[in-house]
Amino acid sequence: MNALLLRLLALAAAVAMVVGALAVRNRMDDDKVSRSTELRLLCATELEAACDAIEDDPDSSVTVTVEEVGTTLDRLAEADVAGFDGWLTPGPFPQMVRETRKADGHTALIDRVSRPLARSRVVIAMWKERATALATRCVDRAVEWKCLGDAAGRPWKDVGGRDTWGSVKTALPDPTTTAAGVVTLGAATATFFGQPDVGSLDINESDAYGAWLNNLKTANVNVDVARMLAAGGPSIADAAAGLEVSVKPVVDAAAASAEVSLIYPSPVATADVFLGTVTSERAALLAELLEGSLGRAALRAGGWQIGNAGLPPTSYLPVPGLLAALRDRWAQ
Amino acid sequence: MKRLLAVLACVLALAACQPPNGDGGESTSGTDDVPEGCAAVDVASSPEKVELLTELAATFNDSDAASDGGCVVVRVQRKSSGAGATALVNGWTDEVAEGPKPVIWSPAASSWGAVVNQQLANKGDKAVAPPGAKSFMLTPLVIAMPRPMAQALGWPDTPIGYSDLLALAQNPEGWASKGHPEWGAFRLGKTNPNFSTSALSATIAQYYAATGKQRDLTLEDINRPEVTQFNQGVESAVVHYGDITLTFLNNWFRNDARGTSLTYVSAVAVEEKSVIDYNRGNPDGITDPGERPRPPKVPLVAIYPKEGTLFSDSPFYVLDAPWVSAAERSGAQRFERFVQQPANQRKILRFGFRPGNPAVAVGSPIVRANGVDPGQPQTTLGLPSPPVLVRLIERWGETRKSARVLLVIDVSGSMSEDAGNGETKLELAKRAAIDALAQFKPDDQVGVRIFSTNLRQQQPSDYIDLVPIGPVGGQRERLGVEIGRLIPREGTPLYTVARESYQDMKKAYDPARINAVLLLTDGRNDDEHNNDLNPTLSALRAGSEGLSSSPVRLFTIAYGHDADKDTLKRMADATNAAAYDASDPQTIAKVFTAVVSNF
Repeated sequence: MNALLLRLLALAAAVAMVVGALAVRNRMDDDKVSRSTELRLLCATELEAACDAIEDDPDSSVTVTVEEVGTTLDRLAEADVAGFDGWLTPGPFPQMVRETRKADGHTALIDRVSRPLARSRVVIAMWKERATALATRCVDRAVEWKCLGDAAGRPWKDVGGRDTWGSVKTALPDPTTTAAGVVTLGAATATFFGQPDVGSLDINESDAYGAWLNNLKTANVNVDVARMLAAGGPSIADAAAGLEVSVKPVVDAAAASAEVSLIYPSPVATADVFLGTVTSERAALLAELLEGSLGRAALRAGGWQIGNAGLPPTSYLPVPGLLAALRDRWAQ
Repeated sequence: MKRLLAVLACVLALAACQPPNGDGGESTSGTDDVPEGCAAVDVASSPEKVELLTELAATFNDSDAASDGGCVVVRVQRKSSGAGATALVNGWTDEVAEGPKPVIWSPAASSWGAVVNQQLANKGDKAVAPPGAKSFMLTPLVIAMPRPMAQALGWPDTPIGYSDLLALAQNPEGWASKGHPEWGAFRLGKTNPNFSTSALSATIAQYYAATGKQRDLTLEDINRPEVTQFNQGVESAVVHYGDITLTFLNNWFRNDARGTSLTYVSAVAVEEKSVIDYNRGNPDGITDPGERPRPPKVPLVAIYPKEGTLFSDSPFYVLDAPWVSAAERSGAQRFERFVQQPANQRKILRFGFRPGNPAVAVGSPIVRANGVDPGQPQTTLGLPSPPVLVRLIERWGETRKSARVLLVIDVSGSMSEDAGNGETKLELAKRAAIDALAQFKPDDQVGVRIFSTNLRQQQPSDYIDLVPIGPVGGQRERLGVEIGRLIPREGTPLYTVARESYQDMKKAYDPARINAVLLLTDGRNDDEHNNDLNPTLSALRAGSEGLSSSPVRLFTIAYGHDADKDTLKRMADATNAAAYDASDPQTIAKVFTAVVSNF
């Protein structure tokens, strides 16, 4: 090897070292940016505990805003900017926004939707004595959505209960405002039709469905499971539905816990947690954070199930567009 | 880093919360001044929970919860639900009269929140009571009845409802139809839904019973002729209305001591906790120092109407009002979480309420031995939509039992004294009386009598009927003009005018109406021709005890500091009415409004 070649190799090595050093420095600078940049996470109310844990983590720089899904959906329907880097929801709401905006000719605000990060089953908490009475009128003597909707609003004496119980009162979370409400209504609708593959024609043209939905709506009392369980008895509501993550802890802690059944209507439906993100470097960093160990730990601590153990592979919910139609239908 | 900042903030906040003398913050309580750097969270609470909330506020203010996240001091003020609702609808503009603008409003029931939001919407204003407010505590509306009367209706085995009470009220035989002629007619005690939560709930329940529905009451339902007829039937059994249920409970308790509780009223719509208080010998629920509660001879039982009932649910509204800052809102939310803690919720039971936190079991004193049933009610009624609620209150005003009232106004010389604001006491009272005339409906009958010694030569010389009793609709203007002309005269023939006004009303008793005398005086009897109280009291009692076929109530207002409050109370008690206190002349308008709510 001649001297000239050696010099060239040495020069190339030096250049490579400089480039390498610059690259390492650049990466180090990037890391500094990622650690110091405020990442804006919008969370559905149902995920408040998990999001608070993310915000409180000393290694994160996430600023959390909590908002009911209904408020966000209404705002994003026509907004020019998202106002967040990522939106964490229990249910396919980012997908719903993408579909709705596309149908309306708007640009897509949400660039990417994660895989399901965590899950929670849809559950009905019902006073045992009344569940037992109603079950006598249900297929396979098990309370499920079809049976509950058929009985809703009718006098208890007509559906297996006592005259003094009044009419059958249900407490569904509000589908116009809450994620749990949309998911619960979606699950109930899928059960009514015997499958999640429900079309808008089905919900608009079926008289049987219309009557069933109307029963559920008119029999609905605007309370949550805590209110149903307070006051020492079943006078407020006979059954309250929602997500296991929020319903079960309240039932377990209730003084009247032994008098309440947790019913998981078959087929099991779930609210799957998704992260929708906008197009930005910050959004990518946020996705990395939430889809990583920090996100998993926070969701688990918030009561959400990570993984599919014991759960069906899919949510058993209708497609996002149909969920949007159900929300509109309930609001009418 | 965030945690460190949070801890630092806590330390700073704690330091900021220390009183200036650095004595460790022991003096903080529910009513303390607010240290610099702290946000005041003012709570407007309905009266039944003021004592409890004040206690909890004091504990909160002394706890870390009051400083963790920014220093706040919670202050609790008493505000009846109806008065709070009115103040909010009017923008809470007068903090001197109404108290500080609240951050938290906790009326007795969420129906008040719905009414406020609707009334604001009617004015084109934004709602202030957010939906989904958590209940602090609960108590169901019940119909309190003396146990023997409830048993005569089949209690405890037979469910009883408003329909049963209506049937009894409309039965000409009254209690004789149930084998008890000695109890006379069925008599109902109800408060006024413009003021009282239990009355608002009872009126809602009554309308549901009239329609046979349990929810979704509509405007059409309210206006149906048969519904009006049902409600007029129920109202016809009312002995008198009132601003608070305590008037009935106190009168009942006094009658119990005399052995006449079964002939005063047969049933009163109250909250469950009132039955517990009454049966513990403490009708007002407050044990004064030295007071030794004595259980009544005839206890009350709570009837949970078979048609369903409503809960007074004590919502905690963190108001969506322009005067609520972010720091105040945050503090309010912390206080709300604090009062929901099981240890704090258990304190609620002590007051006879059911806890709002489901983790705390309903227990003593909500037990059968106290006349209540923790397993009841079995069903509840739906809260009507806000427009229906507002219309329902208006409709009650149209269909309530009509009244026949003699306003008896003191025009003695002392009424010329300064009321404290440059006006005379008489000027203030005249304005309050004229304003109160608006509360009467057109077919109520009202007359005005003035009294003072030596008003004229002929007899009676100590009082003059300025306006004879007649329908308000035809003489509202004249009533106002005559009241407006009043001038102060001489002495105060209190005993004579009280007795003779009462007897005049007895003579012209109208069984279809509430018959009452409203007597306002600022002094004590100084009539040398009649200075013995006992004959007057005897006459009042004689006309009111037992199965009176013509009950007339004498309501009194003690006006100013020199009024003979004790005598006025004895007179009112003797006729099973109520005595009102307007010692501070500036309160006369409110007191007049409260008194007129009885009719």
